[in-house]
Amino acid sequence: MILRNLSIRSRLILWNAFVVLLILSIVFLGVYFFMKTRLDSLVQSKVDIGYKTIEDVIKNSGGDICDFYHLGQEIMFQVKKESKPVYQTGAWTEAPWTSSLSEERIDPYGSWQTGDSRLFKLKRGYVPEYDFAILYAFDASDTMASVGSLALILVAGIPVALILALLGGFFLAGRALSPVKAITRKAQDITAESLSERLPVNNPHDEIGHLAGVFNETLGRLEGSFEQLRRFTADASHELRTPLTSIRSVGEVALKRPLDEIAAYREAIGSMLEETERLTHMVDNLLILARGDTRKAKLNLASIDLGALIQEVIEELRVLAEEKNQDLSASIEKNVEVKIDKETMRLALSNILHNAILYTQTGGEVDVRLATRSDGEGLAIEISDNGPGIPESERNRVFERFYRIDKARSRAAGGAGLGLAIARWAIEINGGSISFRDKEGPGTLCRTILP
Amino acid sequence: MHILVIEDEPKVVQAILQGLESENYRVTAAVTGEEGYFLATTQAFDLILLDLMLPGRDGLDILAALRRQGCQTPVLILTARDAIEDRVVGLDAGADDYLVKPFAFPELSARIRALTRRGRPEQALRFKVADLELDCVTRKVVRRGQEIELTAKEFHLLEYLMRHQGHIVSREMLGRDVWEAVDRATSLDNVIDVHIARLRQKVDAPFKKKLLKTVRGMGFVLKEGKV
Repeated sequence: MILRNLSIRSRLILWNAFVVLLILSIVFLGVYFFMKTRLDSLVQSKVDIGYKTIEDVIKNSGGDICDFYHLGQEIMFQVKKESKPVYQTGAWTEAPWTSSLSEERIDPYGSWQTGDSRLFKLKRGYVPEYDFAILYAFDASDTMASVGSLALILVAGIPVALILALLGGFFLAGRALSPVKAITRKAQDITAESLSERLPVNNPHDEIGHLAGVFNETLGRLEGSFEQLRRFTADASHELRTPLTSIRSVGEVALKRPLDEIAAYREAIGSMLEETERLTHMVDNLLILARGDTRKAKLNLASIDLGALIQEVIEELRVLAEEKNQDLSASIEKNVEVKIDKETMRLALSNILHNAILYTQTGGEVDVRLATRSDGEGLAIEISDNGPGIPESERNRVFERFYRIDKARSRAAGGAGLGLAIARWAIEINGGSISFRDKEGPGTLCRTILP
Repeated sequence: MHILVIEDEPKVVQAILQGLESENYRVTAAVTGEEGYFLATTQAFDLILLDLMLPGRDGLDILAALRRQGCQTPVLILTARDAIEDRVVGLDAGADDYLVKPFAFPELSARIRALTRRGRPEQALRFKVADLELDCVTRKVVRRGQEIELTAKEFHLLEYLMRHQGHIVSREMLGRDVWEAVDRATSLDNVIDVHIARLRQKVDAPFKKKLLKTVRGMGFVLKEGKV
């Protein structure tokens, strides 16, 4: 719980120290017990050798106590016969504790800890030939002290290792996390105004580099959206303000100077109403798009004859082509039934066709085709013309709201730039896709694919 | 003919009052829901124009209350909410018709005429404006004894204009009623203009007296004399 509130760096350090501690403890315990067992058996064999020497001397001497002196006075042993001490070395006599030994507890081995922390290993034996009871003591203090100091060294080493592990962890974690710090600093500085900046990527193949790369891609998309939004805002304000400006200035001018004729007032008001109508249309179009954005439009899906619908749209708009002396031809596959929403589809088709007629010069050609696709996957509606065409770089953008190729946004030729945005929305909610394609010769080819 | 207007936006009230009075209707206005409900329950009206978003009391609420009390006065809803669901809710609550703001005044006027005429069958089959005659049964158009050939669309258009003779017809009305377009946002306006121009070419051009007139910013009117 507490760990969760710490920084990654602190957590790394703590985990590192914990693991080092765990490994050291296991190794140290292993070393300690191994050494202790080895030393114990060493002491044991020394006790056995010492005792055996005494026993051999006793046997070789034929029970003569005088020969025991050859063993020297430094070895500690006592020999008893019929529970009475018959011989003991000087070392045995000098050690005051020997007098208080209770032999019953030495069977045949035992040990004695003296008041001044010396440790003696004891062995009792009996030589039946001479009825001698032997009691031998071996001073194991030094060996045992080695085991003690080994334990002490090991225990003392743990805090030192721990401190080293903490320090090492601190530096390692710092090093490993330094790109994260750099990325964080950079990311903090990125705002809507500086979306073109990117996070530093030291090594695109490691995890942090990969993360930064993904972030950079996101930033790229965000930058694109912002750019689109900026353009949209600029274009929308132009399209909305222009009619408002007209309404305002026509009204102001009409009020400013007294017009002597009623017809002049009618003219002014009529002009204002025309602008109002334009605004109303634009707001209607924007609302269609906004509704499409916010929730799924309610579709009235039904199987309809797509060819008949296209024919209807063509006949409806034919007069516009006739006015421009354009040749509006159609090649429609018969009996093509699709399950779509008729009204949104009609909206899309009439917007695309209207656009083609609008942007193709007088006397030009517009052609509409409907055919099952050659691979049998869905249908293709192709509306092509021999007008000025759309440069390749603009082919995706023309579907953006308010986007117009004509940067001067001339009002005489063209609408507000919402027609294709609505068309794309309408095609897409019907499950289709729409795009402008390359075409042989001059002009535009708009292909709509429906599943 | 007495009309009650329940609407809170003063400029809209003012415009509707003046517009309807110039068409010789008697108009009473209420600017809050409560006032409107009080007037509707205490006086007899031939028609109620009802805004939906009102201060105090919601338009739908008033409508439902009036219908519960057995008030049969035709109600025409005026609102800026134009989603299909909104329309359905309004009509379900007992409204007779539905007009989306911003509306064209000729359209309001036409709807009022239609609503107050309701019940009285007046489906004329022959129309006459000055020397122009149209027969819906034989589908013939004759001017000064001279038969005029029209396409089906042009005939439909002329018939609609003659049914509303003397009254302005907006492009929206034509788009919805003659072209039967569901959405207001189509490229129909240009199409309508072309058809009007062609109709004018056939009906008016050969004759001295012009009948089909354009009212700038509003629409078209079929009428003898000045607009």
